[in-house]
Amino acid sequence: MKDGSTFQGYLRDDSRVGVRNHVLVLSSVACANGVVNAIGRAVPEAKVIVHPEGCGRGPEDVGVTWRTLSGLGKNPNVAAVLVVGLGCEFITAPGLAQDIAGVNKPVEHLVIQDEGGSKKTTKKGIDIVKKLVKHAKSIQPTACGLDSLTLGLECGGSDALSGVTANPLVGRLSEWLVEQGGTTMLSETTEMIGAEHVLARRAATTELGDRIVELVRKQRKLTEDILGDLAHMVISPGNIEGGLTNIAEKSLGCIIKAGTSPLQEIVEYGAPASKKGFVFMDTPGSDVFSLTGMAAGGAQIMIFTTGRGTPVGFPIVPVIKVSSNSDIYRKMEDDIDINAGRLLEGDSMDDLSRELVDFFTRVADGEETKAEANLQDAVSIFTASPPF
Amino acid sequence: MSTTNLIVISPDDNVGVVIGGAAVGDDLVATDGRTIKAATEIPGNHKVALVDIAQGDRVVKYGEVIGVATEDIKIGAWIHTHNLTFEEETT
Repeated sequence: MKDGSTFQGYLRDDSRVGVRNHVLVLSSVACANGVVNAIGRAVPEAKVIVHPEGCGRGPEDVGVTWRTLSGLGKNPNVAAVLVVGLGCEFITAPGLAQDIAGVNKPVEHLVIQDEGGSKKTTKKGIDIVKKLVKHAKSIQPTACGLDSLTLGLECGGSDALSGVTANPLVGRLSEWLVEQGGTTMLSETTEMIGAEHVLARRAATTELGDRIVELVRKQRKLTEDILGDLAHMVISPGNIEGGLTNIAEKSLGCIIKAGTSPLQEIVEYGAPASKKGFVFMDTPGSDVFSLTGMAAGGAQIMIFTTGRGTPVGFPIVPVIKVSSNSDIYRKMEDDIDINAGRLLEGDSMDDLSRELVDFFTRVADGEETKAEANLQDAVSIFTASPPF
Repeated sequence: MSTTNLIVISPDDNVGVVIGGAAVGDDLVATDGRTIKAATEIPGNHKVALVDIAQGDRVVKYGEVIGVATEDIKIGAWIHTHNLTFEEETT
């Protein structure tokens, strides 16, 4: 294992460190998506985030969306931001831009109704983004400590081997990163059902332990209330045929991604962690919602285990894909970076862990993940209530 | 050397996971170096006892209790819903 080493990162004014140096074009509201996409097509070096939110929701959802969009703009992988809004929405472009500028990075905004429509806003946006790209290119990477990194943890398209090969392998990486002084961020409250007592026991304080139990029970009730007869899907007949005896065993197979370090903090969806070490973000189990929350919470790298295979990545955060079995790795090699199925082909956990740590540090240094190469830029923001 | 076909996740575990399944008498070669013989038929990716487990003993995977044995389970035997119960722990 590499110990105490550094990587070439981008030190931001708020003292956080980026592993990428993206210029982001961000919609404050769905109505601005067309303009944002047009700017992105004209300046392909910039990253684009569009989404269906920003207006027409209740106050709680607007609050979560605001925090999430603001967190995405503030993510240290982003060097500069152009926010585009329509003009009559709840989440306004000037308000969001001002919020993001709180971390002292260049942030510009455009309002389509003020600029006089799509074409004029797009033209002006292209000029602004070209200027921001030039600014970003002037920022030189420097040697940064691994303790500045937050790794977001995700599993999706799981199979019977996910909890046996890929997740324990990721658990090794998590433990290594925590030893380096960094942060590992577990998510997906739904996937904790039945294992909340284990997380509670690992919590650094009784209060944290009580909170995790309450969060998971609330999620369990919500799952049962909304999914009704389908709630059993959380531990499905397919899981049992696959060899999992009960929900606790399934959930343990998920939380092993975080290793066995003590739980230091629980954060709300899209919110940054203030502590280092193992932290938990309250997110849905659905992959893209969870990735979006962790990226908004400041994760600079995310790791995603899969048994069935998934192409999903994130616009401003490299996502490392780990397969649980060799079959899916060979089928979807274009999408998967590391094959934990090699544990069954004579490679030891120690060897694979070393390889994953090496790859992780190379990604921190700038090496592209498969999801980045494929421009797999999916974004979904969590909302609790219907639009009105 | 035989191919590894038994994954032991944590050194504290008394069960492992058999990859590809096994018939009675098959060698199970573990990721931690040990080899045991399958005492029963074991479906692919299902659990096997790494030691003799007595009725009432805790069954441990990921270093955590995943349930209690409802009967004596011999080393090398299949473990699943037929011989393992789960009572949810309250903290």
